Amino acid sequence: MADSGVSRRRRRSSRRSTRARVRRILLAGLVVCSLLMTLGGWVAFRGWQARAHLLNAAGLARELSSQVVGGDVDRAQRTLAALQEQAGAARSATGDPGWWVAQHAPYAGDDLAAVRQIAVAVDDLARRAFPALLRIDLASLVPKKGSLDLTRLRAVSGEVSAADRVVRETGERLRTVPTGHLLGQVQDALTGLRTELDNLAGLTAAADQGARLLPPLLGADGPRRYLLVSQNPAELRSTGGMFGAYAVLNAEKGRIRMGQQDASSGLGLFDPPLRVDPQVRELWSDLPGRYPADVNLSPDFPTAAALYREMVRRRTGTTVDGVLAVDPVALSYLLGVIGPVAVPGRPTLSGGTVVRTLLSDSYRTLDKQAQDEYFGQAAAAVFTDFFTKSVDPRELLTVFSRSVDERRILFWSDHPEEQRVLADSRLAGTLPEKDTVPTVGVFLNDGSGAKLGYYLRFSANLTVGDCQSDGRRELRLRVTVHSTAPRSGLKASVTGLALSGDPYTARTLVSVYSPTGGAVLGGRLDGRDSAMSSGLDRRRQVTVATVEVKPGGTRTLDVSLLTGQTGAGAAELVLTPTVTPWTTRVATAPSCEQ
Amino acid sequence: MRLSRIIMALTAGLAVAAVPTVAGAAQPQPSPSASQPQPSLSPSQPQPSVTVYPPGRGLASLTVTLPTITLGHTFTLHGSGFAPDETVEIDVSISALPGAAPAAGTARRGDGSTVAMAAVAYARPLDAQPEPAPLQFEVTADATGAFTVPYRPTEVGRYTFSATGESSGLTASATGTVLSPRAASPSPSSGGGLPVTGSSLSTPLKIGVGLAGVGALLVLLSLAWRRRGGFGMGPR
Repeated sequence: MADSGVSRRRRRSSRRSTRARVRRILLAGLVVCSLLMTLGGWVAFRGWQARAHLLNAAGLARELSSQVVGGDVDRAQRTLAALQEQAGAARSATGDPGWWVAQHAPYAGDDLAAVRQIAVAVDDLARRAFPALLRIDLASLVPKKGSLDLTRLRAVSGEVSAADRVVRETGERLRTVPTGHLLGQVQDALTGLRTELDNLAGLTAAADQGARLLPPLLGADGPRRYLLVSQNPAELRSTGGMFGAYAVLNAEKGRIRMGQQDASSGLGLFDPPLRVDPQVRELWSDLPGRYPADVNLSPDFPTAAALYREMVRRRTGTTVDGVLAVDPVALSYLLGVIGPVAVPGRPTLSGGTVVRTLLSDSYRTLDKQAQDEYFGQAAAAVFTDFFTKSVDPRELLTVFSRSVDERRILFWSDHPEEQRVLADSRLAGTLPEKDTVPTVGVFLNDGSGAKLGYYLRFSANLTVGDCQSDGRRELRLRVTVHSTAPRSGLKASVTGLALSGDPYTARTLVSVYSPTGGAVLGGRLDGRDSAMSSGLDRRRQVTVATVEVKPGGTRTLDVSLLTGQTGAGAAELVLTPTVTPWTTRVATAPSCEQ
Repeated sequence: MRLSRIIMALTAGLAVAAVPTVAGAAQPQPSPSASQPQPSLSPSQPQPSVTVYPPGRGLASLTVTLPTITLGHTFTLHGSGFAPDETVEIDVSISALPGAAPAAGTARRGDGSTVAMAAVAYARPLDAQPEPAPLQFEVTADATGAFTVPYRPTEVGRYTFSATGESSGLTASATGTVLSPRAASPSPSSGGGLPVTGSSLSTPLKIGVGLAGVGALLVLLSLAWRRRGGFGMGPR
């Protein structure tokens, strides 16, 4: 009994101490748990706050960009202030010690760190990059009284450079954040922000280069001389139209003056022809080096510009630093901004009618002598109006942006370092040396020696086909050519040489360029196999089909192509700009890896 | 995007862009060579197959059907517009196919393996065809100045055929692309290889581990409670 009593007592005391220990452990556990939960709750609360601020900031950024584009400076300033506030709040919400501790926690830590980085990036942009971009005075980029204020332009250039630096630094910092194991939502936000930043960086870098390039181009470091050529889309050429006439522009210290003007026909014929690239010669024989009207049979604008420059130099002795090409459609956009221009004794030019007036009416109603007079008077009138009327710089820049986008304004500089800067932009008028997205070119050349291009309507459908075992993809291209030409009543100046045999039947040579490293598989015209000439242009295979269209008729050209090795399911079309814009459709496909 | 285009547009000296457009928008074509003396087509004076400025009026033409084939198939060359019954020399130049696998000096065999090749001719003939395709040969045009000739390439690449009429001096050229034969292996989309399991799994995994942890904690707590309750009730 005594034994059992002792053991029972011992057992009871040991039970009591076990109970105390359990209680202590439970208490400690409770304290740790509640601490963790408090910290977790705090971080969750701050995270929720940061998320709300960042979402607000994203909305404000969208608003800001639309206000900047719309030119509403006052509201843009207010939006920017609000954006800075939201971004600052998001940054401070993710900047306290609790957040810092939580960033080192397992599992959720990297997500929290990524959110912090996003908040910091947005705040940096809002405080350091956007204000500089907003301060840029667009009016300083537009010439006044025939001259551009280079001092103000240099100031703008400084602002743009600073903003570009901030954007680039932010982008690089954001690129170091690992994305491997992030929550879906955080990862989406991060990749989205990276893409936006890359876009922005591309934009600021281009703006920076442009702002730096403009002063020397306008003669800040010595006088410059350019050829301004007009492309005539009534007689199609690959870059847009035949180089009809040219004017010499003299630029000095930001001031631009117009010099001598003449028609391409005044340059005559070159025999022996100028040297032409062998690949071009195989497609077009010596024509580009022989006739000023043929320098742009191949779609590479720098080649055409260099040939034309040399032709002008040989005939007139004038050596220029570059060539600027424009077409009447770009002019119509410009007239839409500066308003109608009155020409004494002749129809007034206005944005809605200028293309018809110049490309159709003048051929119908005027003889060659009167045409030349009319064009000369019109040129002088537009020049005067452009520099005397006050124009909204924003609208002006918008129409120039549109013209460049549609490849209706092209520029080539004879200075290699400047040409390098321009090389990637649409302004340069080139096909990429190496496609990032498979690019198919469709270029048009008039083969009838007539001005029937005004009446032609073109469409292009490009369909991305199956993946092939060697990493290529098949592309199917359908080009239709429709003629709205009348059946009678056109003057001889319109029907021209009528090489198609019938003055009203337009003969168009349609060149199709394969993607780089790709190939042309074959072509059919109206469903029938058709003899098509072929050649090479750098890394692209080219095929040329002769398409003759009667008034009111439509011809369909089908060409199948192969891309180079690519997994991409996307494709792009590059086209000759025409009087009436092309109807285009690109049907993409899923990329091959999936 | 817009800003970049704007700046680029400005770079061109936008202000004056408009002016000669008006002036030259519709200049008549340059005086065609009607006034130019027609070049005579004699052997001593070869060339000008073109006498007017619009393109597409070459007297002689050469086309290839189909413009792209795989190795082992045959091109058909059609010539026309040459002098009747004349001998036409055809020169073939081959350049590497950019983007395709074979590096310079190599070509792929039918089974996909790569063989080294000399630049012009190669010592080791291919299995299927003992003779390399000629780089220069002659054909005779018929009474209308036309000819049709097959050509079977023996290596991958871009082929440029230049035809020159020996008496007329007329020239024409065409190109064709020869691709390596389709490999027999399945396409990459259906190819073997393990499915890629990446970050898409990691988030559910984390949640699962977290939930399991919470569950374990709850089990421990409930055990502790029950044991304590057991102690209190057991002996009575």
